[in-house]
Amino acid sequence: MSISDLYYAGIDLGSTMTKLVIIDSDENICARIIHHSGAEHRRLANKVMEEALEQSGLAIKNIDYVVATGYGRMVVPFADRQITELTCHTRGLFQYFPKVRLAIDIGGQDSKVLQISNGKLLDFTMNDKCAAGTGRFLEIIAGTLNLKIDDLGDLSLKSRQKVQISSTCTVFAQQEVIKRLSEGLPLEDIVAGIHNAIAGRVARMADGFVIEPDVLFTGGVAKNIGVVKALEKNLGCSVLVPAEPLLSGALGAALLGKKIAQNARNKGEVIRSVERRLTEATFFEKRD
Amino acid sequence: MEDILLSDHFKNRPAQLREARRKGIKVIGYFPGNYVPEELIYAAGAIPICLTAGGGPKPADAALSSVPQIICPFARAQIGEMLLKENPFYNSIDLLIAPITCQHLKKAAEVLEYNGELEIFKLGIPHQHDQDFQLEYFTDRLRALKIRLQKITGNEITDEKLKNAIELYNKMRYYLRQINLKRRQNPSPINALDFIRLNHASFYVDPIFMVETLASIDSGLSFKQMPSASNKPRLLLLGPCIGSGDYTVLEMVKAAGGEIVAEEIYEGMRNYWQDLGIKGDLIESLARGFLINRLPPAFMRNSTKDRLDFTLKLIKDFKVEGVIWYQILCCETYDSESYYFSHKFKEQNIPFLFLESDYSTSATSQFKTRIEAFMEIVNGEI
Amino acid sequence: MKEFLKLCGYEDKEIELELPRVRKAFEKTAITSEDIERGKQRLKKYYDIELKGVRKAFRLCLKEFINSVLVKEDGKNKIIYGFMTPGMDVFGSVLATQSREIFAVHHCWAFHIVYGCIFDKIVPVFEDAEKKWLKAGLVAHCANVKSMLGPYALGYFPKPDLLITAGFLCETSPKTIDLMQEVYDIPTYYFDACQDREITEYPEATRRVAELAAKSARGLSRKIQEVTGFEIKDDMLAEVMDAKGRLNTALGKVRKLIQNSDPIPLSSAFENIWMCLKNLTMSIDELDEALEAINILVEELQNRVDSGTGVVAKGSPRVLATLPSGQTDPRLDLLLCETGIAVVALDYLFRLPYIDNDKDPYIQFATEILCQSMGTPLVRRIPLIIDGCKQLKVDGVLNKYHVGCRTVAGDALIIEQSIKKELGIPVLTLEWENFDPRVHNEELFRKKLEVFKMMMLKNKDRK
Repeated sequence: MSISDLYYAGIDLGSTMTKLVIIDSDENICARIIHHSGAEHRRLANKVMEEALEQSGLAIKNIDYVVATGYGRMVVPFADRQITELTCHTRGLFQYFPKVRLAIDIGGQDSKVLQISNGKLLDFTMNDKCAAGTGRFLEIIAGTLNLKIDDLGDLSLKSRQKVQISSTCTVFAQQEVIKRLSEGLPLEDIVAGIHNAIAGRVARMADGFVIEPDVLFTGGVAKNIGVVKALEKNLGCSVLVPAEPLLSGALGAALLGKKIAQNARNKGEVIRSVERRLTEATFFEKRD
Repeated sequence: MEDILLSDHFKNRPAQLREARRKGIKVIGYFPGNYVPEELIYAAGAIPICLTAGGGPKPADAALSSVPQIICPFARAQIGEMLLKENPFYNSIDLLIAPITCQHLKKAAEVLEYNGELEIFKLGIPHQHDQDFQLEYFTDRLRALKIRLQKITGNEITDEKLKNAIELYNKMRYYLRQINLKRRQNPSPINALDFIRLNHASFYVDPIFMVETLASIDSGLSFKQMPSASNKPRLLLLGPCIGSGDYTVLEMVKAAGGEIVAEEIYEGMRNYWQDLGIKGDLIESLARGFLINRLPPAFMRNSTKDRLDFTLKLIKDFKVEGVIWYQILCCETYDSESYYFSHKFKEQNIPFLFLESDYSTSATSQFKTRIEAFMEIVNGEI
Repeated sequence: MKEFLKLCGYEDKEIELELPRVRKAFEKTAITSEDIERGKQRLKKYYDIELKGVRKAFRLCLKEFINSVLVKEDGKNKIIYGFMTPGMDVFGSVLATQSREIFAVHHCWAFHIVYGCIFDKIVPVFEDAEKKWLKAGLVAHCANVKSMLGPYALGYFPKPDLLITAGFLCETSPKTIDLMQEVYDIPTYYFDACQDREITEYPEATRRVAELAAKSARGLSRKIQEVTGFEIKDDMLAEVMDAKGRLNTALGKVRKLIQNSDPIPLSSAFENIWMCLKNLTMSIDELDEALEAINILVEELQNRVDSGTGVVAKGSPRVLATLPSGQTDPRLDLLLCETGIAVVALDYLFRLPYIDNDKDPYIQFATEILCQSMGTPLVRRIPLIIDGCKQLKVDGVLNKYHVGCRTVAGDALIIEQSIKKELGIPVLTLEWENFDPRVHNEELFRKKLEVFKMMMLKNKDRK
């Protein structure tokens, strides 16, 4: 098999979504899969890999190296290496945005701020165990307002004067929202206030970091145009949302896999002694 | 071999303490912070125990009936252990020496004093020492402590006994220092978890036995065949304290392939980095040794600069590539300092990871990803 | 603006004279005409501004705020800030009386009143401090310290030649000035003592610790001399302490009137103003002005009492509140009045019954600090509070605790337990912040206070 026949896979097992990307040796994307994560991560990893192989018309033996990332990275049976989502995410973003210095990711359960230089992760912060500043916060507030989470963004754009939500705590913010509602303030102004609160909280996590374009914003909350605008205001810098914000972790994993495999090969090291196989998808791990 | 002996000794220690108390020997507990001279306790013929239980949620939660969450989990754990009465070491204490160090341990002492079940000696610690009267005050308080110890034990603390005790503890300091200095090697012949456990053991076990154990470990390490240099990230751990039992972060760092080669924490190197003098007035020598001739913790006045300089020297001497700052929640002085240190490290391109725990599992759930990502940064290979 | 200054007790003539300075100071501290409008509304809503004594007290606070901001413009060439330093008012008043060049002040007192209570503008200042090392979140740094760092970082107050704090009860403040020394290159001094008194040692230990504190305070005098060249003599201190004593006696009359009247003639919101007034950097002459203001107020309040006028209904439950009143936010005090709860005293004014006859002024004021309720360790503070409750015959205790302060927050639960056990009266323990308006939760507080009031009334009936 020549080098040009080698392919690299990155699988990003997140707490809510599982993503998989296969690239060829020229770093073209041959397959991309986005799937809801369930409880059975191990089975899911195999299933998603099978789908990706089918999409790309490849067999498992064509895959030279697999890097698993994300919250469930330890339970991908066919992975050669585990790398954290922070590093993979950085690499994936760098592929399309080589000038990126700051990346913000707000997901369902956590939020992260990454400081990047030349495609390398320099520093990062993550939210503490409190839900404020995550997608969960928006979910709770949307519930309180009886709105769909997807509608928040557009609604907030109608706001003329955002409401000040002074509390950064989810519980207190919720009480404040209820109070504002009872005062009869327009819904859009309240939602804009909430977006500002979450953006302020996350921007605070970037204190001390170099903030200059490109600032990239990813994760589920990046789909909310209201938060994007609020973030721009809080950071004092334009913010870019990549076209496929969900895939950067998996893409980065695949790219890092390629680099690791090629480095090893250049040094004459053996990458893998046993042929990779996709074990049958059962809940209990099967021993070969 | 030594670790088996040590762990056996440690297991039997509560029984030993019970036996000793039956014979009328007093067990004197004290809070950490590096301000209580064990030698004074030892010279009174009593057994010193440094109370450092921490890491688990149960005692820290139990204390919430007495103090709110703002009192740090370590101080709460000290209250909690006394309330729960499940820890044999805490149950053995005849007198608690509470150095008035940070507000948290001060409050723990006050709450226990209020509860009234335990005899307490509050040892006032001047938070600065650039004027003579501050050293005088501390010396005076140590003299008061001496009188109290003599009273509770019925034994006189003679100069000779005190001198012998200082020499014994100097030996312990010497070996801890020697072993620690070996961690400058690459790879380190002893990992951080083992070293910290060893240091924790020294708080509880018999000091003569401990000195023998340390001497034998030290010579064993001198002859240990080490593999060639590893490329594991060499790390420095900074923070207020690691309770005995608070090993999650240490374990995670080890599992992620990192090597902590030095740590600057309560009852860490500050205590054993230098010996105490045995000339002149011994109480004054203790006062000088404990108050002045050692690195101050972050809650001391004007400590930031000294602490930063010392840390930067450690980074150089131990060839440190990254700093992990591990603090317990609500520790206000260390939290403030972490901001300043992280900026100073950034200026020198030293990667810095901030972790904060309240001894609950939910706090540590993210630690794994953070620590692994940090290793990837320090390692820099990908 | 003129109307605002009138509300703050300025006379017409003084307004003409002072207007340019006030404008300048407000401009420097970003106080806009919109703020002034809000300030007027707040003064009218939360404070009994129709009382002349009250207006005069506000005037002194505002004056100090303006002096602090314009200290350079006023030609002072040595500036000393004493933050959270007991006794700083004494040093400051000595220097204000004796020197034209030196300005020594605890600048946050007046700042809290003006920026917090009057203009409700203090939160952004905290947020600025939170961007530095006093970060927001679960670590709960005290907002008081944020009100030192924030305005300095924003450039509201100029760089001092010396920054002082005390470490009697607090590690945050010393650590903050330690970092300010490193980050902004400001010389520092720490006025310190050890809180190591044991219950068995009272009152002897108070003398021991007072001696330590007095030595530390003498060191402070030496430091001030080193920085400014001015020598503070013992008789200067004694003179100021006498004048402050007279002011304190007058304030005592106000407090006695409140304690002994039903309905109470004034809300607890003013305790904050009195606390501030006592701590302002006033020369002996200005101290006389303050004394005059309070004497006027005593008369005005006596009139209220005589006519049966009060801020709550007659027969409202009487409570002791712990700690000083909110330093930047009068809303809780208004809420208490609206709910019909009469705060008759605050525990921070309780004092151990220990007198030291030493004439040394340093021993004198060190002893004062160490005998205060908040300055004494838990085990002695509890009986002090319980005795106070008995003497005042209160129906309940509003046990609010300052969540940013390890010392007082650490006492709160034990205070509740011991009062319930010893006195059997209702205690409302309220997690709170003395300095941070963000902690105010109107709905939640109102509900809790209503239940608290009901419990007190039931308890009274049972008796």
